[in-house]
Amino acid sequence: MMIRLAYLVNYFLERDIAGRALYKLPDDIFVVAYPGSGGQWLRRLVANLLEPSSPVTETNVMSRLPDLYHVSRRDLAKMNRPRIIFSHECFDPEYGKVIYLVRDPRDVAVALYEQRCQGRSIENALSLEQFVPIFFMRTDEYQGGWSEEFSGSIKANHGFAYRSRLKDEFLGTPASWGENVMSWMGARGRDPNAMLMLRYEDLFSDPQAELGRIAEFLSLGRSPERIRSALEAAQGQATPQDPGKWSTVLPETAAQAIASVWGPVMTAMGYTLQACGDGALPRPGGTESGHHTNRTRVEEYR
Amino acid sequence: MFSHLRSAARYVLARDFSLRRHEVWPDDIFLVSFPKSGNTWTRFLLGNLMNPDKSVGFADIETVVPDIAVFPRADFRRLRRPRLIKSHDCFDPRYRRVVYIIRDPRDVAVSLYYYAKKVKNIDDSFSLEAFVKRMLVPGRSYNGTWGEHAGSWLVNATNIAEFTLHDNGAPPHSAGSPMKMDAPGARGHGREFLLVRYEDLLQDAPAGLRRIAEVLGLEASPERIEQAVARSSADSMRKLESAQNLQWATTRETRKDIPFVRQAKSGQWRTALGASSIAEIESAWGHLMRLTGYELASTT
Repeated sequence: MMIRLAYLVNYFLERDIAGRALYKLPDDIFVVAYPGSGGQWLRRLVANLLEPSSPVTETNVMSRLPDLYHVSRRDLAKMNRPRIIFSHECFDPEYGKVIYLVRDPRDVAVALYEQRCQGRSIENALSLEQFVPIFFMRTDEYQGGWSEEFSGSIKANHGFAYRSRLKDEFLGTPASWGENVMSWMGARGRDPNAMLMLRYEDLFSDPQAELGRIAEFLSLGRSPERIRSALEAAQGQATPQDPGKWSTVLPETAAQAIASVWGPVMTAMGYTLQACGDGALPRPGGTESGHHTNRTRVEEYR
Repeated sequence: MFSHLRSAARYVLARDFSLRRHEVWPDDIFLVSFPKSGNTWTRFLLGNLMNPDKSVGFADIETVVPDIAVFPRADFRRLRRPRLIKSHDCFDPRYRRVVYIIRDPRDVAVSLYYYAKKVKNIDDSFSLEAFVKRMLVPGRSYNGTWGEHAGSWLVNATNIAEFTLHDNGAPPHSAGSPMKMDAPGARGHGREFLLVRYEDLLQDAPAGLRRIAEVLGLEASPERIEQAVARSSADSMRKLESAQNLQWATTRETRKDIPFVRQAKSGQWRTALGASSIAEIESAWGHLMRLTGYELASTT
């Protein structure tokens, strides 16, 4: 009751946070990525691509390309249209145009594990081998206080002030990696006008080409100038991790657990299920290149 | 201002609708479908099966099998468990027990067209061709398009290759082998999911109802099944509609010259839809129609 009254106050002050319940406008464009998939990097690239003359900074990225989980309704209403909004949600039919970023779930697991370890003492930390089955593969823990058994991370991690800005403490449903990717593929996988599917690995190995696809999708025209300055501006803003890190840090059992449940999804998204031995991989064309280990590994994804 | 205050009061008293904010309990059973796919009929079948002492009508269907978009949020807490809930929502990862009803999208188009007239979304001069074009466009509605709705619920690890545009080295498409009735939907992973084709239910309602009851663990003697099917027949539902259409939120403020319970048949599209509309639907959603066993009419 108290939290509902407090929400009403926030609502009338337009300080409430929309989350999944965002009131969409017909021309809204969404950048969607599962947590740990490099969404923050793509978000900055897209913001720079839209306004190459003034690169985003850490202080204005929230207003230039806001996400659903922090920005108040008033600030969202003040944005120029078409609005571009960042989201972790699984399929939402009210999203008109979507740029979806997918990443090898084994690398996602490693990235989420590293995020989780930040700021925690080593003694309290879970090993990566435990983290994958307990958290990453879990499909029944959601954000928000609206499930009988799982009051969720919102209640555990946020105080009254933040929670009272959410209607019923509901924030959203990113679900698990597999559910998130499958729900978007199932709904829009064959509709390239409604969803642009990007892979983190492609964005890493050939950002020019992928930014070109984004520019085309957003009807900005494939201007090489624009793309080059967007990329230059992003230098040092957010450094992407090399794809394939999992092959050196992820325990075999954890990699197998992921592949056993989501193997066909990974294959459909173009990821090979086998661990890639010790580093260098043969190029698809057969020519061996000794240097640029990362590049070669990325080629494997193409 | 008045409407703001009214919705604020509703919210504080939890008389508002929950939709996505619904507090999902692990044993909740969701009756999910795209609109106009036989959901109301299935609600009646199950409602009558679960309440053999009294025939269910439009006046009380909202309390027997409540709609997530109609039933007040506070009252959901008072229902007997397991709760059976009707929903038109697209994929929601929190639903653990789902009965998904699917219907030939060409028939859905025809049915939805008359329904759109009934609820005054379009006027009488709006053509069926234009309506079909409109229903193919994504991003316009809370329920998504038919293809988005069905795709988001039916995709799973074994059929995901059907939903990709480019061949990424995935196994070849399994064209010609439609999903089994109990194939796991988007879920797999320890979720209950039952796929029901409206057309199969039409053809043999007792068998379909028995199968659903089995999965949901409802008591279903042959007599009870027979009684539920009889009480939910199109004829009896039509009679109930004309007697109770003012007592049901869905029909209360709609046009009374177009019925809610219409033909209750399949294959209407063959005479109602033009060749171009059929081709448009099949080119957009053909992959899903193949997956669910609907034969394509256009040769593409």
